[in-house]
Amino acid sequence: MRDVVPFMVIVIVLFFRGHRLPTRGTLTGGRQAFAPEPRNIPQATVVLCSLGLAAIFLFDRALRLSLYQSMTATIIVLSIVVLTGYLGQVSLAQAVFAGLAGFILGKLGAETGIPFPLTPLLAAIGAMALGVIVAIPALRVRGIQLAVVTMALGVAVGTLIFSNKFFIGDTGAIPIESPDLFGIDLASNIGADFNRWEYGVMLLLVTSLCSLLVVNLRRSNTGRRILAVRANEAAAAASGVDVAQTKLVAFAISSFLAGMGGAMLAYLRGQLSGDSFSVFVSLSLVAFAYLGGIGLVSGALLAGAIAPGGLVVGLMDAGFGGENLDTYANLFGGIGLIVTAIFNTDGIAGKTARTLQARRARRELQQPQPVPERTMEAAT
Amino acid sequence: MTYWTRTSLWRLLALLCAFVLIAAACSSGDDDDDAAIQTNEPAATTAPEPEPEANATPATAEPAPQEVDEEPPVEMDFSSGPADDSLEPVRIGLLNQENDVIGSFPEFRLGVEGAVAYLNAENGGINGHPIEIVSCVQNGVEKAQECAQELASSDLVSLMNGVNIWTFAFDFYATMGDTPIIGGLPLFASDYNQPNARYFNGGSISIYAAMARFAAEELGAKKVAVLVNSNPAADAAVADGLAPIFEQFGIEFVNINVPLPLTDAIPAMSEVPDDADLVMLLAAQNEWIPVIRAASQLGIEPERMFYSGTCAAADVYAEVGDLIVGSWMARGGFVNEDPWAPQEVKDLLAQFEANIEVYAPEAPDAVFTSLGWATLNDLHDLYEEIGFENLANPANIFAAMDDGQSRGRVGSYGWSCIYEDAGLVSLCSGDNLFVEIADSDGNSLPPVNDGAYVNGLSLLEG
Repeated sequence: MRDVVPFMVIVIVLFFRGHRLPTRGTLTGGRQAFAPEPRNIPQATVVLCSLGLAAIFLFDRALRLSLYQSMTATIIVLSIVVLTGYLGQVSLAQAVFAGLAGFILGKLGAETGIPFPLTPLLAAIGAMALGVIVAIPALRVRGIQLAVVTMALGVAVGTLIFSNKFFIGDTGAIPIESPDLFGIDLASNIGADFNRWEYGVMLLLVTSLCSLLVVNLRRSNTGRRILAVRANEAAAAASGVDVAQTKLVAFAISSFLAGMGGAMLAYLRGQLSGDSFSVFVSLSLVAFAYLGGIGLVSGALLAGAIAPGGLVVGLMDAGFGGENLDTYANLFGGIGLIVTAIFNTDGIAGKTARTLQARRARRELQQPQPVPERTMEAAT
Repeated sequence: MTYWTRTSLWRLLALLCAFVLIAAACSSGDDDDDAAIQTNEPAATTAPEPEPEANATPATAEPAPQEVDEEPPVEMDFSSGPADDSLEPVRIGLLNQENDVIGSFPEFRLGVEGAVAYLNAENGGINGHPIEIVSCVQNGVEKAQECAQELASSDLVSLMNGVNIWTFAFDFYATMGDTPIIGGLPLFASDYNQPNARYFNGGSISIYAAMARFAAEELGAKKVAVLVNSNPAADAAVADGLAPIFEQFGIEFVNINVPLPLTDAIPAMSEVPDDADLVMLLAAQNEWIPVIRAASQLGIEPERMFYSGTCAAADVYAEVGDLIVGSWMARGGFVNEDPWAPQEVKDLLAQFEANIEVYAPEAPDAVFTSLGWATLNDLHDLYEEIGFENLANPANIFAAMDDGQSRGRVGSYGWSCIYEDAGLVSLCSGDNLFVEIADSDGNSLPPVNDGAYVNGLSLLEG
C-alpha cells in the first residue's frame, strides 16, 4: 500500500488537473521553458564565488562534501539547461556522458602521462564525441522519442562500457589519479584529510567557468539560434538558421559540460563505478533541473543545491542534529516536481526571474515618458 | 466557481497530495530511523528481561564474578557478567545500507546491536570494557562516502562493513585509511584483497568456488549452465571464484543472465544447452520458484539443478513441492532446523537463536541478522584474545587474524585468513556445506560428502 498510494494520488491529481481532449476549433499550444537572457553577470559571479570560497573554508568536512557534490551536480545540470532548457530536447543520457568522461579520465590518468588540466578536458571531449553521435538521431527524432533513444543509449553504454573490465578493471571500479597542478596536489582526499579546500577551489573555478560558458552561450548568436530552433524548427530554417548544425552544436556543448561534471565527480570520489551513472541518475537530474528552473543557469545552481547528497540536504542534516534526510531527498524532489509541474512550470529560479522581469517592466511603465519633440511641434 | 476558489482548491489538493506522499513514505513499519552517525552508548550493559522460555546462558560456562566485600581484587574476571561501564569503551564502527530501494538490510545492524547488548550484559564486553557501536547507515553513493569519512574520523578500533552496495562507487578502503575494516560482507572484487580489511566469511566468491568444486568432484559435471544476474558483485564472484575452478577441471560453462527480480524464468531457462549436465542458479530464494517451475515445464530434471541456497527457506519448498526433490543446494552450514546436525551443534545453535530472541527481539529471522550477530561475537572473541590494551594498534589485529589458526563460533562456521597466496587476503572462510534435497518439507536435507565442508578458495591458490 505504501508504494501504491503515491501513484494513486499522482494519477488522480493529474487526471483532474489535465485538459480535456481537444475538439475541432480548440486552440493548442505548448509552453517553452522560460530562458531569459542572464543579467548582472559580473555581480552575480563575484557574489556567488565569494560565497563559495567562504563556504569551502568555513564549512566542516561533511558540509564541504555536500557542497562539492552540489557543484558537480550543477555542472551536469548545466548540460541539461543547454539541451532541454535552450534546445528543447530531452536526453536521458546526461549521466552516461558524465560517466564516460569519468572512466576516460581514469584510463588517461592511469595509462598515459597526460598532465592534469588536459586530462579532464580530454575526458570531456570524449563525452562530447559521444554526444555528437547521439545528436545524429536527434536530427530526426524529437521529444519523447529522443528521450527513449537516449535512454536506450544509456542502457547500452552502461552494459558495454560501465561493466567492461577494460574500463572498470578487476575490482569493478576504476581508481582515479589525483589532479596535480604546479606542484599543488588538488586531490579531494589525502589520507584522513577529506574534502580538501584545494580541490574545492579547483571545483569552484571549474563550476564558475562552466556557468559562464552557458551564460555566454545564451547571450551569443549561437544561443539565439538554439532558442529559435526550440521555438519552431521550420521558422528557424526559414530565417536562415542551419537547424542540423545548431542541434549538433547544442548536443556537443551539453555533453562536454556533462563530461566535465563527470570528471570532477571522479576526482571527488577517487574511484568510479558504473552504478553512479545509470539512466535513473539521469532521470533524477532532469527532475531536479526542472524543479530548479530548466531554462536558467541559476536554475542549475539551485538544482545542484537541492540534489540528493547536495548542500540543502547537508545543511538540513546538520540542522536536524544529524538526522539522515537523504532518504527523503528524492521524495521531496518528487513532490516538488509534481507541484512545479502543476503550478509553476518555470521552476523555482524561473518563477523568480519571471517575477523580477515583470516588476522591472511595471517600473519602466510607471516612469514618466519624455514627450517627443515632433508631437510638441504638431500641437503648436 | 470563482477563480479564487478554484485556485485555492488546487492548492489544497496539492498540499493534500504532498501530505499523503510523505505519510505514505514514512509509514514503513519495519524501517528504523536513520542517523548520520549513531552511537550505541555502552549503557546497553543492562540485560533485557529474558523471557522465561528463552535460554540466554552464555556459551562458556564460566563462574559468575565473585562479590567484592572490602578490597577489590587486582584483576576482575569479565568473561561473564556485565561489562564495567566505568572503563573506556571499545568503539567499533558499523557502516550499513538501509532504506534504499536497491537493497535495505537493517537486520544486519539489528543483529549487531543485539549482540552488543548480549556481550555487554553477559560476557563482560571486551576484557571488561563495554562495546560501543558507532553506526552510520547509508542509502546511496553520496551518503556512503559521507559515512565513510565520518567513521574514519571517529577514533574507532575497527569498522564493520555491513551489507553495502554503494561502497564500490568510491575509494572506500583508502577513505578508511588507518581504521581497519574487520567483519561484514565482502561483495565486490575490490573487497577481496585489501591490506586493511579482513572478513570472517568469504562472501559470494567462496560459495561459488565451493559450488564449482562440488560440481566437478562430487557431481562429475562436464558442461554447466550458470544462471546469474550480471552485476558487479556477481560478475566478480563468477570470474574470480567459479570460472578458475571450472577451468582447472576442464568444465565447459555458459553464463545466462537472469534479470532481477525474476518473474518469468522460461526465456532464461530456454537458453540452457540441451547437453548441459548441470544448471546452477546463483541467486537468492526469490528467484528459485520461477526457475524451478520453468525447469519442470522445460523438462530439465531436478537432479540437474544446483542452487546457491544461503537464503533458502521452508516457504520455497512449500511453494514448489516435489519439483525440487532431488536437486542440490549449497547450504553454507548447519541451521537450527536440521534434524541430522550433530547434537552439540544443535545445542549451540539453539542457544544462539535464544540469545538473538532475547537481545535482538526486533530483528527478523533472516540470514543477515545471524551474520551481524555472529560477526560481533567473532570480533568479541578475537579482541578479547588480543587484549584491550593492544587493540589501538591495527597491526596487532591483522597479526592475530593472519596467524593461520582457525577460530569462530558455530554461527560463523569457523574462519582463518589463509588466502593471501590466492590474492584473497581479506577473505577468511571458504567452507560450504552441500545438501541434496530429499523431500519438499525442507526438513530432510542430509548433507552429502559425509557432512564435510567443501572449500573452493583453497583451489584458487593454484
